[in-house]
Amino acid sequence: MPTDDVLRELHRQMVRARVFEETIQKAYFEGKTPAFDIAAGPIPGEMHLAAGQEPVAAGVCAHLRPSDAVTATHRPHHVALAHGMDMRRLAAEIFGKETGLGRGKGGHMHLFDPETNFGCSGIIAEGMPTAVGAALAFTKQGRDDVAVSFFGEGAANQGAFHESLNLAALWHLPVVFVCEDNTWAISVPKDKATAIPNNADRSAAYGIPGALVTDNDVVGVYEAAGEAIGRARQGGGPSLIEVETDRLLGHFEGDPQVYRSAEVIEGLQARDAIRRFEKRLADNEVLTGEAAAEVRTAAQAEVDEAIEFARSSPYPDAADALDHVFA
Amino acid sequence: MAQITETKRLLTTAKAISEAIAQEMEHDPNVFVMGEDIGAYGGIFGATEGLLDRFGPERIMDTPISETAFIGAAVGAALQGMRPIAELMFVDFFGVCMDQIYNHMAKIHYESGGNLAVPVVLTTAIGGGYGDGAQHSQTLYGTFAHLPGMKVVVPSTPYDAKGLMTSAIRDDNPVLYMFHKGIMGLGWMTPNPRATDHVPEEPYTIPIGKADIKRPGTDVTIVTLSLMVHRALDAADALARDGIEAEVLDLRGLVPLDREAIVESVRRTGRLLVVDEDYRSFGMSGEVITTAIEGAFDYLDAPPARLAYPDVPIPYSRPLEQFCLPNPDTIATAARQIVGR
Amino acid sequence: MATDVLFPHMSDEVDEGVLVTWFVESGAAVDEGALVASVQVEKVEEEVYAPVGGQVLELVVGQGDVVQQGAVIARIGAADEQAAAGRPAVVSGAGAAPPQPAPAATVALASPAARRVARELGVDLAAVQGTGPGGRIVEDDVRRASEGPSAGEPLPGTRRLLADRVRSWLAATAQFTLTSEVDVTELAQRQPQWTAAIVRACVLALPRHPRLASRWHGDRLVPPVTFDIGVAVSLEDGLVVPVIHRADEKDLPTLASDVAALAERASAGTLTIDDVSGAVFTVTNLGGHPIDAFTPLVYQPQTAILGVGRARARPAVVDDRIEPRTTLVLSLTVDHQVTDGAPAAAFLADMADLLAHPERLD
Repeated sequence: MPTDDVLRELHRQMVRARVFEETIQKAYFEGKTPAFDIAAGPIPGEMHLAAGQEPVAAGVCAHLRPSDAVTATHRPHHVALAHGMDMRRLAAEIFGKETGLGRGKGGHMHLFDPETNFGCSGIIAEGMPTAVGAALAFTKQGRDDVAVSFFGEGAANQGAFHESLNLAALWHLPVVFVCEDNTWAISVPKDKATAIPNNADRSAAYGIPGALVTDNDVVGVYEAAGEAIGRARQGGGPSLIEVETDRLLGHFEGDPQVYRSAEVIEGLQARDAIRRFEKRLADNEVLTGEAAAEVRTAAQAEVDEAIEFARSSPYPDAADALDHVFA
Repeated sequence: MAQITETKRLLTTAKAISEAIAQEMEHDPNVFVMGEDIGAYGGIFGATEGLLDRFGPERIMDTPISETAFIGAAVGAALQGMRPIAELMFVDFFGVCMDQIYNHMAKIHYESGGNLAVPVVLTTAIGGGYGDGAQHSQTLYGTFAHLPGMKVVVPSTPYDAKGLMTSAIRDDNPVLYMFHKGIMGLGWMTPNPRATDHVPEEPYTIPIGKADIKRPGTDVTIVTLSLMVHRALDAADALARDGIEAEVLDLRGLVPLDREAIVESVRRTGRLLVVDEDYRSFGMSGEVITTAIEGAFDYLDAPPARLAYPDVPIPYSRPLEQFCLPNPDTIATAARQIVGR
Repeated sequence: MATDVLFPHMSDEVDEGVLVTWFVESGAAVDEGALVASVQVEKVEEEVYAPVGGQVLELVVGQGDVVQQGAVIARIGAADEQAAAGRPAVVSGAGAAPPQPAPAATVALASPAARRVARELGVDLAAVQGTGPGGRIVEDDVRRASEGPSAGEPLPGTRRLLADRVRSWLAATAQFTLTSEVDVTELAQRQPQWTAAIVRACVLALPRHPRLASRWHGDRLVPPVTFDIGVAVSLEDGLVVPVIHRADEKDLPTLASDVAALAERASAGTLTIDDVSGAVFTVTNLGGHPIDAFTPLVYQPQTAILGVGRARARPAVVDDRIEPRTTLVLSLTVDHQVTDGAPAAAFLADMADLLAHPERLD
């Protein structure tokens, strides 16, 4: 069982991510009402928010240091923040500003941060091979860093998933594969897409440990990840963790969610992992409701400052579009 | 072709490439090689011959047949400061791993706003002419050159192959290094006398993106690269017997494209023929001709022409395949038509 | 329906003219009234404007071609119209190629390099024979053409310059010509140098008719101070007017030797600027040709020019009898802006009197 300090930090990270994305969501819809125009407003393009999936990011990243490599998906904010990415530069990138992580060239699905060794890919499962490569580099360089690759349950049916697990297992690389099973591959549920109930079982095919964390439990994630990351760091090779998590929102903002009923959505909201965790912390007298509210207030202040930084930052010069094709 | 030293030593293109890799591995511990059959086998086309014995399996890594994983791993390792060389056995196989190549290897530097470099050399074999059919004979350099973010190097001679490989390994950008099976000097491929040449022993570089005049001429510029350089040189010899002096410009790669060299040569000769083993439409030949029209329009004395692979999958049967490939006769005929004599 | 663009009817004296310059290409879009070509009949150039707006479907004649007045030179219509075959308009000329099958192909096929070199060397592509693939004009063709005048070259540079000048003179003046037949029987018996004799008569007559020897300086008319007389000399290609300075101070033999010397230097191309400057009056003598009378063109900034026809025996009425006399016709063109018919006639009368009595010329 994690210490109370760890529990409070897990809570704080989840709240930071949630508040950040709630605020991004509001900004995203500026200029997009009453008629939704994906190109309009201060934040154009698709926006994939991770509300409900915060336990996975918080539980895993609690064990990481900035030199550990992390690859995430098209839904990357909660992981990026949990791994320590500068919220201001993250926000600025989402707003397409010069001060963003990629000077506005990447956008919210393509975040790269050398400070926290973070990268992500908008292509399903394709962030996994680069994590394998990072782990390969760590062994060659004699570093005890590990690589962690986040991906969704939909990605587990991609070739890149299987190729990555095989190669990591074959070469005994320090990489932890973390499957965020939120049930929905956009509109297709897991049981209509995956031949077996649990992807964690697929670890057996590559002779590596697999763990299943149910009920979107941040403590369960923390414990499973601690074991896997510790093993990898000590030369014990790769692991696969699957976390049953929830996607409270649509695949992207503006998703009409015709593929799932209002009851299903309401059911997900009702078991929001953060509220449930707060109740548990209160029940166990780790964090009072008042203290939890203070955490939220502090997170909102941090987020507001980051969003203000993003809004007030300049856009890049348009002609900068032609730079950085080659080093 | 300026050689940096006099040398009497002869090397095949394959040996020139593996020598360049070995020399870079000697002084840079970050360089390592991954690929299918690149270890004990030495690379199906010999580009890594002898490297396993010299550097061991930690740095000369045979991979599973799993291109997405190991090319992606090369990208991931490069992001952590390594300088991987990964081999895609045939360029035709890019379909199983293209996402790692064009969405990751080629884009991360840009997406990161220049904060990350991806110094991967992706080597791959190209070209046909030996009856290997539609999935093992393509050149496809135009496909990769079309996608921004990776340099595309396509040498034609042992000397260029070594210097360009050294440059590719030292480059901080992703470099697609495409060697034609027909220039490697392999005993089991149709012999090409120019696939063996004098190659200096010491390391040297050839700048990526600099074309080379393989034969100077005044009447027509033949722009080409890779194996077709040799076909064009043969054609130029035949043309010279008729008093037509063809200039053969070897692009030595497509990205960056040496547009200056194209324009400069066409301005001198007034006539342009592009010879391209890649598919005709939407590719290298069109880009070269556009470059000439943009930069040398007022010097063109005839419409630019191209001799390229027709827009068909590569057929297996010898007469079918040979019909599609440019050869010295068809090149000379096309050049004569442009020159008008 | 395509609209024909016609070569304008400019002269009743001759049938044909030259298409000097096309200002449009086949396929170009033109507005109604847009300049499409310049044409020339004799020395007179006119501009041709589009009678309707539309697309130039076809240029029927080439630059430099000799064309019948009134003939179709181009067709303008809607973009999708085909050019209809018309009656042949071209009489002769280097550019008189047979009509091209497609309108787009009616422009001369020339490589970009050929076009560039043609611009640089001032070569008219219409006059160049193409030897490239498909008859395309290539760079070498242009360079060859620039080395020697080719058969169909319409207007060499010097000629073009002269054309510009005479056109501007004509435009700046209001010219009319008077002719008068004068009896030169006695003069002819002396076998004179005709031009010198006429110049001598002129300098004797002109002081009584100073307006005819006045020159324009800007908007002022300046009377003569010295009588410097221009003498038109025809060259192989063109015309030059050297000047006998202070002709009024020279006797007939001196004038004769001056005329001979100037003609020689004109042919040799060794005239100086001074030799061709300052004339107040010009004599142009076509007496060596089978020409009786003509309408010479006043050279700006002068006021008058005297044309001299051939001297020949003609039947004349003398004391009610017809007898052969040697006569010639003087053709005096004057600028109506400066003088009128009567003063000009008076000058011709004085000239007639002088030439009829050659001893006065001594």
